[in-house]
Amino acid sequence: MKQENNQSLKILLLAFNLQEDVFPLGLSYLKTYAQKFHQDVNLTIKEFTLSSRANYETNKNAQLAALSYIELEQPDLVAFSCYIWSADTAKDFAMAVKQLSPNTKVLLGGVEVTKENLTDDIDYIISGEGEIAFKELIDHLKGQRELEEVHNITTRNKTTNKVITTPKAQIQNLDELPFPYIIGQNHQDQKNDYAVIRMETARGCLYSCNFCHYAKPDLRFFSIDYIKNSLTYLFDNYNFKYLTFLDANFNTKKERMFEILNLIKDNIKRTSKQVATHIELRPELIDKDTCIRLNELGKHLTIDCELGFQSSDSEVQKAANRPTNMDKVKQALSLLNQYHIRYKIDLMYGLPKDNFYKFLSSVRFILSHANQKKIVAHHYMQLNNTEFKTNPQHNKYIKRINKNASSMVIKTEQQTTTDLYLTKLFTDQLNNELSLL
Amino acid sequence: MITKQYFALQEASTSNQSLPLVIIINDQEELGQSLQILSQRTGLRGLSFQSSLLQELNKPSTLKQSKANYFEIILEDQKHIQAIKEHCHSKNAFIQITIILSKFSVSLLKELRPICKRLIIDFQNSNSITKPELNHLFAELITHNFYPFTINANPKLVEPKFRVEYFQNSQDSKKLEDKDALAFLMEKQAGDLL
Repeated sequence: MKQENNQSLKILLLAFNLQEDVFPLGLSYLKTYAQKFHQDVNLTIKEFTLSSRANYETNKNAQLAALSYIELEQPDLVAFSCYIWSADTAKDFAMAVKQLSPNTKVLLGGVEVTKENLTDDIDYIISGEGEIAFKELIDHLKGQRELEEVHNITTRNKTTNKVITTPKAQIQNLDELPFPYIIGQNHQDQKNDYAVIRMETARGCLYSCNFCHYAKPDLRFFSIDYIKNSLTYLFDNYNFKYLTFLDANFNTKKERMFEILNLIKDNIKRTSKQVATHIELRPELIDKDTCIRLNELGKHLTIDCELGFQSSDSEVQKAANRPTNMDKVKQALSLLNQYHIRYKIDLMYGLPKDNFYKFLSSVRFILSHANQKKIVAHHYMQLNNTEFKTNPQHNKYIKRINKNASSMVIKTEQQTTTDLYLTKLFTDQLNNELSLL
Repeated sequence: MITKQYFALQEASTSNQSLPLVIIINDQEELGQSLQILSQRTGLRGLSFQSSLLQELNKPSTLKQSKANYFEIILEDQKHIQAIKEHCHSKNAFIQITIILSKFSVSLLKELRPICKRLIIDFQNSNSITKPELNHLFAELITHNFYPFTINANPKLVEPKFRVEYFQNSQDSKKLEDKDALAFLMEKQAGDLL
């Protein structure tokens, strides 16, 4: 029930997810950071689980449940967390919210929302990192800040109705962010049992790949003390099977990586919990010392490494601003094999300059050098706010299935839709054959 | 389509143990002996034969109980599909079926889809098919989740990536106009799986 006190601003942070058993990390960062400054605001996170897009019945019911919640709670602001699978749903949903509750403000946020998402039903867009912007928007809603002074926001000027986009701002010292997993500060009914716990130890990336979001923000790190306390807290208070680090390249700083992995080893030893750790590595940064130490750690904890590779073709790599030293990649794979490190290396098809024959060459490279007999090939999804989308030179030849929302590419200068689908069909039958080896 | 070594029964025992092996057989007698050879091997171990061979086999199938996990079958008659199901199809078996264009009909695709992992259309060097007809054929194959492989097709009409000869490296590679298609062939080294 809404209180009469004018300070009791009520904000609903809402997400439509695809997996129920994953902690809502992004929204929790927003909430816990905003709460540092606005303890008087009622901030609630609610997630509703969508099924596959084709499952009309499940999705309809998830939307009805969310709308009922809004109808009963009458929040002042509904803030949607948007990602590739939910951006369209959120836009449609905003329309429904405004019909049922015209006074409720609607915010769309996430790395993929753009100012083009601003419609008559959407009041604010926060694109990219949202902690500062969200906190400042609450300042504004409480009458403590002009809207134009809120960073990183796209909105309409109330007087002129003109669309304005304010300068971006990001947290420089990541340790200022409260650890979102602390029980009691987040969900009122927060559970402590998840299949997967996801964690950041850094934001941004050393590299600037044109297909990736991590290229945009500056590279910053949480301190080792922050991470140490966070891991201790997680192991003491949560049950989970997988600890997934979201860092783009976990081995950007080798010594730091091993410091963190050793902290996990200590926590596993201390708590006797069976937890597998998932990290993403840049292949060229893997040396013999890395493999020896990963092998040694592997005696105490399960470490699954994922190597982002995408393509062996130099033209594709160049177009994606991802120049790759292939000799170093070969050497890294050889070392990983030699030291029995658990890893998988993935390809991406449909990138600019790629074609079927180049994809075949990439497949051959994997089969020749990697210790895996399965090809994992992802269809390139063009994401909003990445260089391939925002730079007209790149984007002019790329067609995707949804012009506005991040979605799968259906045409490039080199490949048709059929070419792309054929790549998938070829890979499927090849994997069936490889499974016999 | 990964690289394999093909042998007639007489030479199969001399094959390289570490490479995928397919034994080409002609009759039931050869089938029995081939299965014995395959039972000594691991990895991809297959047989290549014409579908009429299956018509002669007794039930329950010895083939299905064997260690053979890969079958290349030339489908001579639609009626033999049932025999393929009975003698070859299992969850883990890879079945490749080749059918000549004149015997192919779109209505077969639904029946083949659950059992066949790779379907090859044999054009028998026919030049009578037009580009729109080829597109229609490929559209039907793709919508039934088959990558459109062909054999003995006119290279001027069918791109290398759809030709079995290209993956078997038996095409005169110097004639390829597409530089990336050519590069893929030229860069192949001994021992490469693809």
